[in-house]
Amino acid sequence: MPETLIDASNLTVRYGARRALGPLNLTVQRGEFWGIVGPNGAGKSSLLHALAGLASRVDGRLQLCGQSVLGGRRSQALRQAVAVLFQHHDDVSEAPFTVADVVGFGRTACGVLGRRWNASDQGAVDRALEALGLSGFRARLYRELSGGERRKVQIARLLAQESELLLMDEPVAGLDMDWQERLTCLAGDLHLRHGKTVLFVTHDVANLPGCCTNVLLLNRGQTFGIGAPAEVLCSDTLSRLYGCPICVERRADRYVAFAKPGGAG
Amino acid sequence: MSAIEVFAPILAAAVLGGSSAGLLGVYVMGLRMPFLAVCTAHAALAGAILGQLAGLHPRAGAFAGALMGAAVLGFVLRHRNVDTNAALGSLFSLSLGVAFLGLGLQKGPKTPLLELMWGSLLFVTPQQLVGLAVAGALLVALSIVLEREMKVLLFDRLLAATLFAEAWVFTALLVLAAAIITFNLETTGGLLLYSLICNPAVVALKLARSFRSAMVLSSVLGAGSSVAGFLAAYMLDLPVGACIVLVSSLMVALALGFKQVRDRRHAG
Repeated sequence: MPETLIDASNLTVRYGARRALGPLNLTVQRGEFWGIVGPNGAGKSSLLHALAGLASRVDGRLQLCGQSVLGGRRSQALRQAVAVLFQHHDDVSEAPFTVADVVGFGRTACGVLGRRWNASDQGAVDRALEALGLSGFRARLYRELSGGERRKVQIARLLAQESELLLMDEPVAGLDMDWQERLTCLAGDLHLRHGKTVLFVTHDVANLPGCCTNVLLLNRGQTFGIGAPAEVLCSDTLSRLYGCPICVERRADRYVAFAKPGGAG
Repeated sequence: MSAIEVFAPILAAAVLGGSSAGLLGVYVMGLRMPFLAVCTAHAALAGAILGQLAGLHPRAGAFAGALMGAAVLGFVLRHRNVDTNAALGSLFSLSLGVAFLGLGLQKGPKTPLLELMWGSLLFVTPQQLVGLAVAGALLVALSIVLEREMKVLLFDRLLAATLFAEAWVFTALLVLAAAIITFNLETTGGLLLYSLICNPAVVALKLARSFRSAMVLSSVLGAGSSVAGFLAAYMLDLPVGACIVLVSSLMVALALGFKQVRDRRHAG
């Protein structure tokens, strides 16, 4: 596996005539944890969709795990190497899928269509369930879980896929503070304990785990700031990014940002 | 002719058609695209009517229509920014328009064409039985060979697209849906087929605690409602297709009532 997992230059994503992202340059090395931060409509999800191969009109140059991916079909090896957690977690199928089913879905990326389930697949699912403390949940129906539990199961699905690169699109959005904190810690664990390279999209810098190594600020599809968290996550930059006075505080290895009362125009 | 010789092919058609439609329904309802069934059924109906006008066998026209409907749907639904239900609704309207245009253009008695709308189990032919069996067996085979991929497809098509060549799996499902709908068109009819596909699946998806049991339950309920509907029609001297649909609708009502009682007991 190459050391550079994402190498994008002049990357542009369009939806119809509208340019949602770019031109954007981004290089992500193995073992990094990137926070992708920006207001609504900044192009964060478009970036993840382009990286996941889901955006239909993408221009520029994009290499993932050493393979050029624009204008061609993705190899199955590349599909396995990039795991995605989407934003629409609560749009749940009525079909009675168990937690073990959903975690096992990640294994469909590991080989050809119709491949037989083997001991290695079962082992990967068992390890993922164990790592997230979900072993006792394996027979529970996914549709009967709470929002936070579902996302935990989805994170286990990412682990079961045994990918190099994880793309997480607002994994904590819409959850209560307890679950936000739990899942933020889990995302950090994926990086620290499991050695994953992570792109973590969020509105709120407080959701970035302490292990975050790099931050990309996006605004209107363009790079607004890029660098280490200490360089980028400051009151002045975020105030300009969000268009209102924002105060950023560092608490231990994490950051907290809040709008100054009465500051918004 | 003995009673067995008369009833055996009818009951075989009821079991084969009902179970294959029930199994297909699990996928259609699991994909949250109930319109897929009604849309493909009406495309088949339009194809059968146009085929008959052109001097073809209605089944050939129905399969061509259903395949064309499935191909259009497959193409349109590949574009993820297209509203699925809007696309299905448009194709449904188009199919219905073409079907009624064909009816209007038919000179002389329209009875053979109108029969395609409600179908008839009573005059099932050996070829229809073979067609129903083959289409059903192919869907079972697809469900076994691509079990996990099909599950991901139902769970989240976007996720499926990141994990494997989802378009191939979806296309295979659409083609088999076209085949099953075609062979059921002559027995259940284009207007009533939707209920035979969706009703057993609604019950199975609500009651089952695993996907496999949902597939088995939906197939059994589909076959059961077809047989029970036929027997009710025979005993009460009523139209067969309508009785099948009424029995399957009654089954949905009973199942939902049962589920509510079960859930209340669990909660209590």
